[in-house]
Amino acid sequence: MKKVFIDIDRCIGCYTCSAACHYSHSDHRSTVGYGELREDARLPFICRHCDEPACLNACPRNAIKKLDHGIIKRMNLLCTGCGSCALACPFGVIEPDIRSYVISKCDLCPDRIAEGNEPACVAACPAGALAFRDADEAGEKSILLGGRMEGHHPVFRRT
Amino acid sequence: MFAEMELTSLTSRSKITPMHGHERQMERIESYCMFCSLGCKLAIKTSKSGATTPDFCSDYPLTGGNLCPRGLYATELLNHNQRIVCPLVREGRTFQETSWDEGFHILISKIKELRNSYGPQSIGIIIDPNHTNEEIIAARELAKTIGTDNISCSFSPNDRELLGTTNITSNGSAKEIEDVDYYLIIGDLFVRHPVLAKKIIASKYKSRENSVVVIDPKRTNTAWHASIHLQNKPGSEIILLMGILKSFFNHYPEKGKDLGKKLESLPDEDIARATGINLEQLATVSRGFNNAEKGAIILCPGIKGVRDIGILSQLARLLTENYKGDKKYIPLFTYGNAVGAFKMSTGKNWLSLPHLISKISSGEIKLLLDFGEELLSSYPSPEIRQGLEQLEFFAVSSIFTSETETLAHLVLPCASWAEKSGTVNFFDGRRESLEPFLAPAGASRADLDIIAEISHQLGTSLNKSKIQQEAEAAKAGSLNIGRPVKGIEDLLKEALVKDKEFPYLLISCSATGHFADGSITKNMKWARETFPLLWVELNSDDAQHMEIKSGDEVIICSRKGQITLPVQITSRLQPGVVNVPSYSTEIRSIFSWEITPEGEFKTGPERVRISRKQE
Repeated sequence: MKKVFIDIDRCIGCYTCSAACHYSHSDHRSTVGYGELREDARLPFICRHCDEPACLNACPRNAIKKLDHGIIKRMNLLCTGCGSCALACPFGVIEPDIRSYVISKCDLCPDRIAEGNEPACVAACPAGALAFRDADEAGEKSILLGGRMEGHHPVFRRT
Repeated sequence: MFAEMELTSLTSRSKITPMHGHERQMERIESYCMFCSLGCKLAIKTSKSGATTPDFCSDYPLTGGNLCPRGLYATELLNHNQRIVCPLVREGRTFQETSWDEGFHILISKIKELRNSYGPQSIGIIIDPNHTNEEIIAARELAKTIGTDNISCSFSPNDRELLGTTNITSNGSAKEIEDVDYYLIIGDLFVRHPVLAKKIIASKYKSRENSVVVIDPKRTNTAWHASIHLQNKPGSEIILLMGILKSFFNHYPEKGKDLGKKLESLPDEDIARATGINLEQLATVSRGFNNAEKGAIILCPGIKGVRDIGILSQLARLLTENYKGDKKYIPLFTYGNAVGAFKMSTGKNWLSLPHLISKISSGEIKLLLDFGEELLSSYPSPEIRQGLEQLEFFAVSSIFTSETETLAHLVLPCASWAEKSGTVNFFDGRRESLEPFLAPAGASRADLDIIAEISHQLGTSLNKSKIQQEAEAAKAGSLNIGRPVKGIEDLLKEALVKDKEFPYLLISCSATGHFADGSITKNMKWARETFPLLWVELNSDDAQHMEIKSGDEVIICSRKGQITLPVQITSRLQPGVVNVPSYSTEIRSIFSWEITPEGEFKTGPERVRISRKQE
């Protein structure tokens, strides 16, 4: 399964991924949050689509489902906005801010992927910090690669 | 025709029309973003229902399809529910919706009336440089038709000085920025023009010898990625570049000539004291820049912080000319069509904006036609407000209503850049054609049409094909009017003086989601949520000294006025320096808008004092 990877050595903290997410979804809700590592780095938080998702187990209404390709999708009509998933997520990537009844959750831009494109945040990123790659291929192995840190969604303080 | 259009409100765009079967036909149109001078290509997909989604043009060499938040705003700009959609005429203290015919009738009769009683010079025209080349030529022709010399293009204070001292060539922009071994960046490049970040970071990681040097008083996001960050004292950029040049001329005295001798007389310790950076570090940068095969100086100053842009730009050019190897000087501008507009508006009958404003304040101008410039958002000052209030007639064409419009007698709805066609010249001089993504919102019309109609009703029809020819022929060649590098000693002396009454230096920063004075972008929902408008950053030592905590309110007082702002404590600034956002009208009102001898608004750090707000 392909996932969004963040190279924090390249992130310039410009918020473009957040804007791209906001304007690419018809309900204009951004699912990309921002975290800050003291004042030295700021980077986006994007859903990792975990193999064993804590949010799925936490949902009392079974509104979060795992699709065929491993994509974690929230069924908006089933969601009551209780916020359990936001609490359960160990990476803090589900927006706890409850807007229009449901909580924001990354859907990996299904329309764009069906057309063979990358998700909007990856296509927009002006610093080349986001990449959409196969998890097996990039994987956790590349967390330290050639002295440059690479990994996805470490847990930092949210701003 | 317009009677029909009047009834079409913006909401009709988002009205859902029944879809035929499951087929969803998307129309995809490509055009260029006008929210800075880079000229990033973007596409908008419009479904049959009228909904718009951004799309990316990955085959475009300059950007590779990447955008910054401003580029993505086109989606919202097209469908924004606060857009002005029909002409508004003032009746007492409120505005009444009116038709185009009626709007033009009021305007034309006022122009004729005031021209007869005060003469043609009582009419002023302002057009902002986010217009197409055709529109700027048309505005010039309109001024000719009216018979007035009071026409101005409202460049941002930095843009005009930068443009005036630059040779803009029209070749290989993308190539000029990538494949560079040594970057010297003045200003917060990654915030002002994020789309260049990919190329610069890629160059930095390509080889161990490659360097990025950032000159900025704040440890900005750009400075995170710097190999060397020269955290200078605000406003000392000129002295810093002179320090670099001095160390260069020490090694190569034969290149120095007059300037070399002048620089030699400057004491090293004064340079170090004025800039806050020791000479060894400057010598390292000078050596590195000289030894690099390919180097580039990128200049993208913010509105308050860097001073005397004309001299700075001249010094940057001196650096590129004297140092060996392939060295490029790349200035970047705020407005989309800054280069094209400068080319079109350098004739002798164009005034600089401050000159026109002083004519408004003195009462010389009785009727002002303002195309797109939000005077009170950009330069909020009591003098300008008073000047606008005493106008006998003030007509403004605008996308959104802001403070400026509340003083207008007539507000004309105009098309945004995403809804019009025409040619523009971006930072490297390349000429591109804009394509409209959708028809203008509601009854709004492109400014070219509005100007053509005014001209026509005044008795002279615009020759559109001639205007098009002139715009087509416009190549941005040499624009150099030059500013001599002078008064170095005075600058140095001035930098060393301490102001006891106003001990803090205030600089301003931009945000990736805001454009120029923020008058357009603060209407964007995402920008409002992401970037707060009112805050001040204070160094942690200063805050401790004054016993201020994060979130406390402080009073910032300049010679011009004062404002109360919540504090964010940061280690990114040096002690004695405060930072405010430049996209907030309230904050801009404490900046002093003094006029320089070159006829521009003075940039450079503002002197302020800070006190805790008394409970």
